[in-house]
Amino acid sequence: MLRRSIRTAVAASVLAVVVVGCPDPPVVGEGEGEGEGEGEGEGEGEGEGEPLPPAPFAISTKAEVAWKRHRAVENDLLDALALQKGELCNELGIFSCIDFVHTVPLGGNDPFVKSQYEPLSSPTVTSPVALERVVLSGCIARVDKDVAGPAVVFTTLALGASSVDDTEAEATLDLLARRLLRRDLADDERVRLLDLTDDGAGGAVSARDFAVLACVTIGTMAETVLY
Amino acid sequence: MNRSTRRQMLHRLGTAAAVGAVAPALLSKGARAERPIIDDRKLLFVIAAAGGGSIIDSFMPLVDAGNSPIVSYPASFLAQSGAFRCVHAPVPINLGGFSITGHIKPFLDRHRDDVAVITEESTSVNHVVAQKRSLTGAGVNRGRTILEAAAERHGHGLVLPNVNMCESGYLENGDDVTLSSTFRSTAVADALLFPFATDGFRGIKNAPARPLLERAREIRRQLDRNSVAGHTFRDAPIQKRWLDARDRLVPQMEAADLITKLTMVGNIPGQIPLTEFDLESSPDGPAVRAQFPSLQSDPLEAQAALAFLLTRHRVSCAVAISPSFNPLLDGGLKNTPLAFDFSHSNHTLTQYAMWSRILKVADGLITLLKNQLWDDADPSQGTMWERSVVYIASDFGRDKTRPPGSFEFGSGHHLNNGNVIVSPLLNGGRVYGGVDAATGLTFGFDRATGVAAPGTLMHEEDVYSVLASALDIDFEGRIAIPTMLRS
Repeated sequence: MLRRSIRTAVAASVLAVVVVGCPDPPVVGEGEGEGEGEGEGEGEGEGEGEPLPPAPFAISTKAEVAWKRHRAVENDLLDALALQKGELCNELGIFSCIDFVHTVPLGGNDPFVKSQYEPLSSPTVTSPVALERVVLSGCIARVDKDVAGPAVVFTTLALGASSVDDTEAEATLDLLARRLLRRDLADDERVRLLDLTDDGAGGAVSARDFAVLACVTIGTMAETVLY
Repeated sequence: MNRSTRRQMLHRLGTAAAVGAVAPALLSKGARAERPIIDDRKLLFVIAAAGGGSIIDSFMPLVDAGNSPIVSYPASFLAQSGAFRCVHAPVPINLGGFSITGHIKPFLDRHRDDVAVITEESTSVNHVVAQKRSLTGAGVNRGRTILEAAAERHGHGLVLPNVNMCESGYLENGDDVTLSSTFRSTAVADALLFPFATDGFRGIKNAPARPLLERAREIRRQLDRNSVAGHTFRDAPIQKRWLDARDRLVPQMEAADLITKLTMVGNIPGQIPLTEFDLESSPDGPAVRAQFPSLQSDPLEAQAALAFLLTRHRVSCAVAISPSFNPLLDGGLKNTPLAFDFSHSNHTLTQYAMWSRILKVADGLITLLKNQLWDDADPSQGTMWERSVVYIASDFGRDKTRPPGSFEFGSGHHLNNGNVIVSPLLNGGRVYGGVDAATGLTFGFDRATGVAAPGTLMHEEDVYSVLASALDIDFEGRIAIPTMLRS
């Protein structure tokens, strides 16, 4: 309880610092509309969602974002999680996620077998699912290997423990951010991620589960594939 | 307001009034979300005769008068089914050492009252270009594919309204940049394993409990809302689509348990070990496997099975499938190399083998649709089939000439051809148009009466318009062909 109060206080202070100097928070809809209407210009755009928190930096006017495709996703994850190709993700333990099952939604294409001469121009509805499955599988594989030892990524956690203290958790989060995002966490991000150490109902989360959860949360942030 | 938009508005106002809704409810954005669901949804299935399925080698064959240089068949290789004359070998025939059993006549015997054949002359003999035009009607509806148009008309509220499992030009999006991305196709490369793309976590061993993963998702959502990247690129369309799919649509797919409902295979230890991964087969699995017993080894059967399951479970309303350009040896030659385009090497037998292949799959799909109620709880709404249109699209036709009397020759691409549409929404049981016995070229018909009209031609726009009319899709420039619509 004390830990949660501290976190809340930190979060509030971070938010307060951010709010100062930006008096007119932009309002952007959540969910982006469902696609009802007459066909033109629908499915995206502004809605009536909660306001986005203010940002002490500019909004891109070009808004040009690239989609990181399947092979780059694979290479980055193999590097970040210190895994070998073949260890990352296989559906039913058999079918390669990257090379076969989820190639297309992850932005790849197969001109030879499937006659798909061009990859998709933008992600589909199933793309975030494909990314989640690949990252979650990879994270589990890494944790399992570190449990078997010697630990390579989760070196700051006692993976057999039934709970995680904040010091261990913060060290793990910082380490994962550098591996998966190639940057340091902001203070407010670290505070939010520390919530993964409990189950939301007062129960502790085991170190193993925390490791997987932290890994998949950070590893599937939008910025890992949109840059 | 252009004519099309006005028509669409009037149509929607009319249908809304029919259920007691009031017009102003359609006019405000807030009220629009609460628009009553009017279940006039219809379904479109496209089966691509990839490579060029020739209509005079299937549903409109000519009788060989003896040593003819025009592609034609001896009477012993023809059969009658209702008003249709079709190619039908009395015994299985041999292609490269493999036995081919015909399925054109059996298909007609089962579904001929719903079969409408429409002659057509297309505008390209380039595979990719022609394939796309067969779906866009050569651009007649602002470049929208018929799949996109059907999704826009009938796919509101569906998670994946338009699913495309085809290849090459059949897989391309249309050209209407104003169409919402919601209605563009979702490409599916492997139908058998597609269900895995509908749930982020299920079937992954040793994953944390679902509530913990959902909690992680919520934290991730907050991180993305507050991160530097999230803020900086908040207006980027690609980021908006990503977050909308991830945070709104994916939970819908998971809540609907599509990973189970769409899993067509049963548990097969060592090959498809579902139970080992805490997964299970669809309740519709036995029915689907009865129609498509080779779905595990035959991608086209798996595609057809997924097409049924996607529409059965209200995931999609427009689905396209296609045989591969790769050969398939599965207890025999199931798919010729290059599909219909193997006609370059052996025209007659390739056409026979490939028509039989896609019609057998179409037969299985239609049988499933006929056997399945639209609403399990309300039999008065009829079967899925009563709302369905199956369009067998072709790139183009094939050459009409051959070495006199020959059965073994290669053919090139030809603009002149025809298409097969199977639907209870059309006046089926007949051919619209005809074929000139002297040239092998098809000709058109009177659009009001249906009377064959030598010297006229039908085009991609006509085929598109027939499909659109059957599917209640209105657009500027739609060609009226009332004779083909079942009243």
